[in-house]
Amino acid sequence: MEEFIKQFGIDWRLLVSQAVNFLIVLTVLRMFVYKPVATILRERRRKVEEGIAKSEEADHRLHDVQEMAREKMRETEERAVVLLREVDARAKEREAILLDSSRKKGEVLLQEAGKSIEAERMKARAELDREARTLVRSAVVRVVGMDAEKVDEAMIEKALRGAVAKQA
Amino acid sequence: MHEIFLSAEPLFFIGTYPFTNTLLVSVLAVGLIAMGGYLLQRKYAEVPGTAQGIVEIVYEELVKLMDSVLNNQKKSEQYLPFVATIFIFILVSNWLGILPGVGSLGIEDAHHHFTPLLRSPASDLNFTLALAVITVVAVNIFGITAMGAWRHASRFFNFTSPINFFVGILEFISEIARMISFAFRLFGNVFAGEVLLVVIAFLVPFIAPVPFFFLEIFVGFIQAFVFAMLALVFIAIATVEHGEEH
Repeated sequence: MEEFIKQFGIDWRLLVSQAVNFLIVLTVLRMFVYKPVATILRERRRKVEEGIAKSEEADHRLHDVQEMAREKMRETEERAVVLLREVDARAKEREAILLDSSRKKGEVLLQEAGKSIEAERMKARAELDREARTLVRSAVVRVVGMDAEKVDEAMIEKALRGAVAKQA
Repeated sequence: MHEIFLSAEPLFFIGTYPFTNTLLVSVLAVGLIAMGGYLLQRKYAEVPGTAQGIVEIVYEELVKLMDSVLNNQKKSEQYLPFVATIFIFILVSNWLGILPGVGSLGIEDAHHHFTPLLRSPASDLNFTLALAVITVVAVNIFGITAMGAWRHASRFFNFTSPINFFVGILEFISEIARMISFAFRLFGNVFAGEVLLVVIAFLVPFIAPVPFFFLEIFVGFIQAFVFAMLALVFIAIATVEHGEEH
């Protein structure tokens, strides 16, 4: 055994030295490599998992929001249709009312216009009558040679009636 | 061709403590790894750069690999530092051992006795035995912390039946055999590689050693991987309840 140890140069102090070297390497690598790398990888894994979870949540929310938007759109369209129908009905009612009111106004205006025309006609007739009297008087005065003041009003009336009757 | 010794050659003595060429390379490996770790740590960012990206990929792949053995991610992350450190330390030591100048640069004393300044740490049994002892001790500590001291001890001291008692003794012997196999597997491979390189370089100094250097790069990686994977398997055995095994 002694020969074996001598041949291979086994020395407990060298054994301890090599063991210490190994332990130094283990400590250094643990401090500078294993722990930081494990921490970085763990942190990264956590962030990736968190990111995936958030992305899934965002997808769910987006889906919900899209669903909500579709629902709102559908509701709005329904309301719009109802409103349009209401507006259409109201417009028709309004149109009927307006037409009725216009017709009534038109009738009133027509009546007023008729009255006015009648009045005008009456006025014109009176004027015409007055002027005819004057013309008849002057014609009688010229034909008969009578004083205009002496022409009988009743005679003029009679002449006028006769003329009117002839014309008719 | 200079002489090849099984034992590492002392470069100088501190009192009676021999500072060997393998210990020097081992210290250089520690410095290199520490420097690398420190430089890497300064550049950690939320968005990883190239170096950090590579480290993260290696870390995650190693966790997956350990998961395939331990079937438990928490356990994998718990034991990863130990297994990964074994791998990195042996790998860096092995690859430092095949750098130009290692084995060829040295001190020649008055008796024309050449002492290489640098030598691959794993070609010294002190290095491999130290790692083997640490691994076996650590595996048992992990077993105790995972299952409790009493349950773990019951693997070795089991008086429930004569067969179990005998199995316990075998388990105990296997722990020592494990230590020896760990130490000699790595030592044998790396030492043989060193000898091979010296012999080839002596016989055909140019071009011929190149394929053997590539072979040693590969062997250096494989041996580091084998050591780490065996440590992982032993951890898995020690930390899994007997009933859970199947």
